[in-house]
Amino acid sequence: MIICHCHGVSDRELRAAARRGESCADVARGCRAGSACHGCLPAVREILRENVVRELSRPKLEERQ
Amino acid sequence: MKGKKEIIEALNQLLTAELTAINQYYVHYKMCENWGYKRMAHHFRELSMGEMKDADEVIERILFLEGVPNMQRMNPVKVGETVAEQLQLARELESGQVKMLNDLVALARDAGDNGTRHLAEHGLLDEERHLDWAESQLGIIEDVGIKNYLAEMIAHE
Ligand code: FES
Ligand SMILES: [Fe+2]
Ligand SMILES: [Fe+2]
Repeated sequence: MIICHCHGVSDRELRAAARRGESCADVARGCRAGSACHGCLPAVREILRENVVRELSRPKLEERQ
Repeated sequence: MKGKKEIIEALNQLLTAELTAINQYYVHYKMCENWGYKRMAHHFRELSMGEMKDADEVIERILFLEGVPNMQRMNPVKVGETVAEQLQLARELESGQVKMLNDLVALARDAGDNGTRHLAEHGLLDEERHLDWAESQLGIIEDVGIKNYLAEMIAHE
């Protein structure tokens, strides 16, 4: 789905950015989501937060064994 | 009639959701039309108009309670890139509205504002119907597959 209308950025691109550990500010510089009218910012934040949390809550390799 | 502050704020939050819904359904309507899924486009158009009627009532109520309807604020409009995704977003949107209206019923009841409670209860049944529709469509897609479903969404009688 398209999250940022100003720059045509999808949720997939944002999830990829989240996996690279990017913050809102990084995203604003990179794919530019959220950097124009700011209307999508709550949704951008939600996706970044969700994916970081998921990443952190994934057990490390040694813990899995 | 002067309304309670928390009721007016809750009505404005509802208004924000209705305004968001109008736009989300409208863009999905135009996208489906552009893809040639005329029947699907018609459904989304009707839903968008329905949300506009909801917004109409909420604005009227806020004005009656001597508040300022917030026409400026909107939630992020999520744009589905496929029909299936648009239906998932419809389900997400409607379940949000159902929750919001249930909360408003309780709030209005506790505040002794039965006019607002009535409006919320009435709206709740509409949104539940919309939610049911979206859930059914997603269920049908699971049963018959997206290709068969889309084939049914081309022609509009
Ligand atoms: S919609 Fe993302 S900056 Fe405007
Ligand atoms: Fe609505
Ligand atoms: Fe609705």
